[in-house]
Amino acid sequence: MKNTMAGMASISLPLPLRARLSILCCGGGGGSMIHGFGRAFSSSSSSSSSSSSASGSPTTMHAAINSAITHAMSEDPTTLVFGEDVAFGGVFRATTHLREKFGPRRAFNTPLSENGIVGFGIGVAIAGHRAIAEVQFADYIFTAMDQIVNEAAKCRYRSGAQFPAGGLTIRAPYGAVGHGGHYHSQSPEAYFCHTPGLRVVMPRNPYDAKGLLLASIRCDDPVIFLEPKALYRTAVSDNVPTEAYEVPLGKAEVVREGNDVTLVAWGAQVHVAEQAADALREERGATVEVVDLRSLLPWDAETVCQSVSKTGRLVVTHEAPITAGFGAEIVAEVTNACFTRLESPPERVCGMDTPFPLYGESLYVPTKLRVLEAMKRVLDF
Amino acid sequence: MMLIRRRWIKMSHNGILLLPGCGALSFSTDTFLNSMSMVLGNIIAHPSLSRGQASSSSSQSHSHSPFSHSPLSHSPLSPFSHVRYFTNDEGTSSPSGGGGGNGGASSSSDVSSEEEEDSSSSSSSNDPLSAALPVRANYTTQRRAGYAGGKFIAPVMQVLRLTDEQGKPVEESGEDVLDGSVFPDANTAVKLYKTMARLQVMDAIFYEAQRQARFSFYMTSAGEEATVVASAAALHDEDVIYAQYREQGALMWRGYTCQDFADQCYSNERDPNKGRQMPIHYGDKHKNFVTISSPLGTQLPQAVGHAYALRMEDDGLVASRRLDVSDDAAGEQHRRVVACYFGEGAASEGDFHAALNMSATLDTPVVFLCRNNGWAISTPAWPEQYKGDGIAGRGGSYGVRSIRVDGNDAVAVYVAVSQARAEAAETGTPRLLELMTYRRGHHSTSDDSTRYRGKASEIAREPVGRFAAYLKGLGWWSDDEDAEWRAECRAEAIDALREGESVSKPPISGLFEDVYKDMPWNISRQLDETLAHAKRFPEEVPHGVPLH
Repeated sequence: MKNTMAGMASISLPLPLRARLSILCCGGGGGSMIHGFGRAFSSSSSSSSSSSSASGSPTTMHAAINSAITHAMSEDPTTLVFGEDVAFGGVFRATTHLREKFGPRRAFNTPLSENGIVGFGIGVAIAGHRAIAEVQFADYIFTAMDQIVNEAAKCRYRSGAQFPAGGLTIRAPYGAVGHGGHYHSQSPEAYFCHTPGLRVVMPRNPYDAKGLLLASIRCDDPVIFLEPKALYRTAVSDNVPTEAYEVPLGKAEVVREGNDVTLVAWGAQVHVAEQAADALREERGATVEVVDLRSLLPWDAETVCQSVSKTGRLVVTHEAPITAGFGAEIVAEVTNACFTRLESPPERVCGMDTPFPLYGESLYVPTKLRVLEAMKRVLDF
Repeated sequence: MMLIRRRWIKMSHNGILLLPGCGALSFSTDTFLNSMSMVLGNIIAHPSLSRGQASSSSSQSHSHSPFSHSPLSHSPLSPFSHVRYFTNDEGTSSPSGGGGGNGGASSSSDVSSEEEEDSSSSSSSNDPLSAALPVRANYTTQRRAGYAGGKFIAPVMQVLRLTDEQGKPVEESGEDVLDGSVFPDANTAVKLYKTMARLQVMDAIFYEAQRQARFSFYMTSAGEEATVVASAAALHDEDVIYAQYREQGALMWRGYTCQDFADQCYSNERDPNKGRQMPIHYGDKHKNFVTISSPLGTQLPQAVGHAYALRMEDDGLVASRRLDVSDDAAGEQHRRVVACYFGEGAASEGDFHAALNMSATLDTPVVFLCRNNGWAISTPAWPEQYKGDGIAGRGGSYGVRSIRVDGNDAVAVYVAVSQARAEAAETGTPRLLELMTYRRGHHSTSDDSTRYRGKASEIAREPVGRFAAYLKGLGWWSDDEDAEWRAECRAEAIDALREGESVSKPPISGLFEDVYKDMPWNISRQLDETLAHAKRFPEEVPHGVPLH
């Protein structure tokens, strides 16, 4: 079952996904571009994408991730990459050519066992080496929760910093793709955000994916790196440098500036937010400040609060279920810190409190129109 | 070591034995070792395991090693002349089947068999079985595979024992057991005994200290002193230990004093773990002893990852990042192993399966040390924790060579772990040892075992006295020395408690540090808020915690 998504992605994209991607594909901020969906599809139809990228040439998300891992493995000979089906390049092609470049001792398959993969990675990290562990889908990370929550996150603290597991980075594809149903669609970031000791990072485009992943691998804290799988082949950044670079952890990015509403999102949802911002400008002439959180734990409250102090209005949107989602944390912090600056109650536009559905996904996920309606409500309050 | 190896080969003639009926391992009672010997006395050898063909009553083994092979192994006497022998090609395979490191294939020469040479010739490339199994398996028309004569046939692995319950070398135990040369020298053997006795004394005194509410929790090693200390003694100091929670004896072997233990139990500022965990969660980088965590079994896959990293270093693929270079390791580079302790209860966790499977597929030098003490709190090992042949019986199905040892026989434990450690280091592959012992005490100070079993004091098994008798037999130890040593240990433990209690606790800021390498804004803010609150309401600050 786990391979179904990957197979679909490399062959053709079914209609619901096309519909969703038409929302996702829009201009990117922060010096990068998400191509229009015609371009993205021509890119995704090629199943053998190059793992290397040249400056200025279009780079897909999976190629940018592959590039970050390649840099990390080149600069530190202790760095290992492993997981289910990693050796042949991974079901999403993020680990292509790594075995050829670095040998079977450094890029290898593991048995099908997420708790084993994460536990193994913790041991590698405790030994002072670096581990890039791939969990094939974030939906299957839960058998590893004990290793993540009770072990990786607490290794440094419980040992008085004698045996940190900071060399561990866990990569996992997350999020809606149009046809994934309960077990190929979930956004589990909030579970990890409730665990002191972890860093949680979610990139929105190839440029950030490379820079954030390299920063995560080099970081001396364990990182949960959630990759928006809908964007592996469809999101393209023009300006991904060939050389190594970092996008700083714990720092949000103001993707576009605005004065009337602050709209906070992360991962693939940033593109929905930008679409909604465009629509609001067209309908109302109001400008939206779109903030990509990029790191959820620790998160950049300062940037968000500065923005809300300016706009006086806050909408947070994420794919995960609304109740106890990370949006709740943002709203609580902003309400406390910016209470006197708020012009209206903050709103959250999120997934429903149901399992992720198969049919009717467009009614479950926070679409452009739902985000747009919420922004009108906070403006009209 | 050669002596040891020869004896192993002799012992291995017994290998895995098959037993009609599966009630063999009734060691959930306090007489499990007795019943085990009884069972072994009546054992009926069965040459063929997986094909259900009882063709011979020979007790010849399919294994030429102390470590059992996969159940796929076959007796040379099998009527199936085309049956292959499965031996995992140690040190020659690598992750994902590529050209990995050779960790010393020569060391496994004594386990190769002539039969395996023709194993590459006959499998059909179209046969699905040839892709999924280590050797070509046969098709059969037997519809009740796994059964014979209408009865379920379960394999039962024997128990290595070299001295009896009175500490006397058993028959055919070997010259080296008779003259004590299983140990490098008399001093090592005496140090092993003295550590076991010291552990026994410390446990008794610390247990009483907890009962007096000096600290919140304690766990004794009562009954398991030989299992823990003799196994630790067989390791090298640079080997990394991942423990469960009842292995303070291993730290003591590596030089921990009663004071070091007391400092951790009191959560005082001297604890290298900064006083953050409950008593007995020891950990010390300078002793290559990874800090203990309470969740059961989590240390097993971690041990595999750590061993993988060590092997990368010891194969010369990356520079050494060893946690600590002890004096004796600095000169000569030894190939290291990771020793991973766990209980038979923890072996029911999914992490056990993940770890054994990964250690085999990824060729990692881990020595898995199962303390089978018969009890997981109140749950007896057989038949409530498992229904099969204990823990060692599982090893072969993972491709991990395994052996079962009388864990109360310090000599057998020392010999078995020495051998396993040497093989794991040389070949870069795992070993599994099941050390059959008994938890004489309660699970912890929070447990009253009289509610589910007889009084602990009625349990006769006492590995410390047993090993003392062995040493006395050799003339290496005496009752006078024993009394003197125990008095010394008692004084040390009492002084350690007194001092540990008086040392300051870590400060308030220690509660907020080391969550991340650098403190993030939210934790920094909470630290400030907590300090302000503590200064305003000092009555909420625990006694002895400095206000900074």
